[in-house]
Amino acid sequence: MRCRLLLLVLVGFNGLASAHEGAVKSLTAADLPLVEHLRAPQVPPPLPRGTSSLRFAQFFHTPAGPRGLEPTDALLGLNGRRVRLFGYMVRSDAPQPGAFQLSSLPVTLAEQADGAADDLPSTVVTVRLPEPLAGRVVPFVPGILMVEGELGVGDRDEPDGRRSLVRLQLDWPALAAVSGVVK
Amino acid sequence: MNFRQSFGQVLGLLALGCATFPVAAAPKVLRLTPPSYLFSGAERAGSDGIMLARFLPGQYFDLQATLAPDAGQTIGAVQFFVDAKPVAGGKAETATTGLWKELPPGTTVASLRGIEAPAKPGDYLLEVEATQSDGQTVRAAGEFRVEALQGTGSKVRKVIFMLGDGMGSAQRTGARIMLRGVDQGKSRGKLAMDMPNTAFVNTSSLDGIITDSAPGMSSYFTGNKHRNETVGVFPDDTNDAFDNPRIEYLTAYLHRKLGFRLGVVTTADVEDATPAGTSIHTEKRRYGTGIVDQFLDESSRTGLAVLMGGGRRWFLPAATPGSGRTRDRDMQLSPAHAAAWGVPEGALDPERDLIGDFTKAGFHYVSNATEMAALPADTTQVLGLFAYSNMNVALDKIAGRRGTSTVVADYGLPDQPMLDEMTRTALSVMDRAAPKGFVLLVEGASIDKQAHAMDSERWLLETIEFDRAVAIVRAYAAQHPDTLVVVTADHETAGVSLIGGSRVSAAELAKRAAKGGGEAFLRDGVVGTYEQARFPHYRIAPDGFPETTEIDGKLLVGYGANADRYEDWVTNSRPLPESGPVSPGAAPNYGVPPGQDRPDLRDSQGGLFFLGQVPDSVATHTATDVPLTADGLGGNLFHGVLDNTDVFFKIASATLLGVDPTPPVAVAGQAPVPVKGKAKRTK
Repeated sequence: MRCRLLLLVLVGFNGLASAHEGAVKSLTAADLPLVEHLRAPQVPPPLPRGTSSLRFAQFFHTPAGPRGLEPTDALLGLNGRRVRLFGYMVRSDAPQPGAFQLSSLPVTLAEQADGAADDLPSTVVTVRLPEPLAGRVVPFVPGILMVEGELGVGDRDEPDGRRSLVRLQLDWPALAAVSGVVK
Repeated sequence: MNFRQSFGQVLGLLALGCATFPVAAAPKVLRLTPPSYLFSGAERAGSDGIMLARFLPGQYFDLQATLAPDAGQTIGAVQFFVDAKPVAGGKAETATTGLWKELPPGTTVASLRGIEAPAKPGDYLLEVEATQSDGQTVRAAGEFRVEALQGTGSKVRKVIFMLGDGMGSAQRTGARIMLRGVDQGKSRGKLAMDMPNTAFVNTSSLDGIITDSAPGMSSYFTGNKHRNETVGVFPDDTNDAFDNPRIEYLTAYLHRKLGFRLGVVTTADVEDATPAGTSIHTEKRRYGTGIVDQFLDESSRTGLAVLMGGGRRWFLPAATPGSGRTRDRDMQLSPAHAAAWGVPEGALDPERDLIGDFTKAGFHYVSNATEMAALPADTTQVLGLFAYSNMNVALDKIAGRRGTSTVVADYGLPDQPMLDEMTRTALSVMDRAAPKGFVLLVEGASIDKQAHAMDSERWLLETIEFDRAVAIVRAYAAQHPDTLVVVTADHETAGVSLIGGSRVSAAELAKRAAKGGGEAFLRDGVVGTYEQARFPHYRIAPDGFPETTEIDGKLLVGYGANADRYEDWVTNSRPLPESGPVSPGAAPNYGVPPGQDRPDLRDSQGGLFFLGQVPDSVATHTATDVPLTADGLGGNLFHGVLDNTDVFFKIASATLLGVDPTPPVAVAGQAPVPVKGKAKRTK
């Protein structure tokens, strides 16, 4: 039943996933298992063993100081550890294959209209797909997502020209069953 | 400029070259810069007198030609001519690498940089001659104009250029209705930007009728058309984002000729197209690292004294959390390019501490409103970076000050200044720092950005915030009679239309929005047109903004360039699509049925859906003319229907030659409305 409802939602949304010169990937039936995997369930399962819960509010000391952001000990302490995080997928008119951004706030990045000047909050994570899915563009998924994987903290250049401070590497085993890709 | 545009243009130029020159008989000129109708195949500027490239006497610009040799040949000597005379300036700089891969093998880009436009006004024939390795030559022609400026009298010494990004007529009218009200057909007051001199401005860019903000702004300040995404440069055929043929900005020209200094105030990221369009040269408006470096590194050419807005991320060393600096988007000029323009080459240095470099250069750095208010009284240079990217918008900043919203706190930046406060500070600094004169840009950036998002109340309050900044500027101009105030926009955004007023109370509207029912319930019976729109009346709080935007019979807005969207007419409590808890760290909204926790589909609960007329993910710019209003010395130069490049020459005339200060014919009710108190007629 849940899948049927989700399908209706996604089919309804498909018409909204408009594209600028085809940049925005529309949702296809093949994406549904992956999309469903990313969407937060109504009741989250218990945290897997060895996985910590992380919230965006734990990322930085606030208010921000005069210069850079100040990561909290909680964030730094989870570097390299498995975490679970809830957030919103950033909608982009130039999505990158193999990754998407997860934010504390729902955001649309319209680089065609706004260039690099955006309303993205500092609390954002670059979520990377496992290597077998590195070439895949994840369609925009509305609603709250739940992601689990290994956390990485530290400045790094991203292929889209942006910098990331916090990254999360999704697990392959968890995605293998829903990706349609045989490793 | 994207790949499709680039490739299409190359093909077009190749086709043009084939049509113009014998096939395989000689090298070809694929591009001759500055662009001209003559090179594109038209006759020389004829009876219509319209010239594409125009310059001030003595204005600097680059000459460039893209030359394709025959197969197996190479391009040798290249010579530019103006009116058949070889252009002085030494040997052209040539490049055969780093070019678009679609170009024929051996293609060469030849540049002669920093050429000074002739002092004598008139139309000039520009030619380039190139010889390939077998001795065959090609010669192609273009043209440009040196404008004859006119003017005499008092000279403008303070140019305050106020740009409401995306602000068309509807945005202005909407703000006036909300702020002043209309009663029995008459507006109960004017906006500060409702000034006596009015014109319409064409905004199209070099590559389409619909401009983006980059050409939209830099056309005002260079006098020339640009391709979308580019500022201060003509198009070229190389991959380097910072090596395009440059056009000297008005700001640099006036600094060089008259000692003017530059100030930039924006609510956007300071790397954004509009602030960049005052003085930056790049074909990639999104290359923030190189853009902000250029603000400082080339400040000797602009006299930069004030830079305020968002965009702190570009100023932080790459290793600092929150930095956005990357090597890929940094800037480094060739030695010849840098020498020709008298600027540093720059370096690919994402680790640069640009705040530190600004402070070493004498700038006071402030990071919030409190620090800005505490600037020393003798400050002559200020760098204000109040957010990591765009600043939060007026609706959320005001709500934060009133304690009715946590949005600015959620962003970690609860103490951001309002635009009028930034403007007052900037004027104080510029007045002190620039006794010979200045050009100050003040931008209300998110009028555009919130119209893109089709968030009506947010762009309405952005326009009100911008108008409050205009009031500050007009008060300054009233005390400084050598001041010209221009208020305009780079383009219109979203095809905004004021479609009517709500026929129901705020409570009833909220009820319908929550209940659903779509067209039958949320459109029919709600959208009042003609006399059913009545007169929306908003109560204005002492802080200058509506006490609430949820009133009975509220103003309703439609969008002609809309993306797919839902509408429920109710003010969104958050600046971004929502329906669930959105504070950082908030728990997900478990318990909400699937299909309703869709924060991207803002306002969807009411079920009133509008299919987008554009295929983009957000509403888009339109080609509609934008209003321009002006006041102060030289304000009377602006009337009629203008091209955006015309504005450049009018400002130049007012500053270089002067203007007749005769005030325009007084029109009843045209007096500016002060920020506080009742309206007073100016003397």
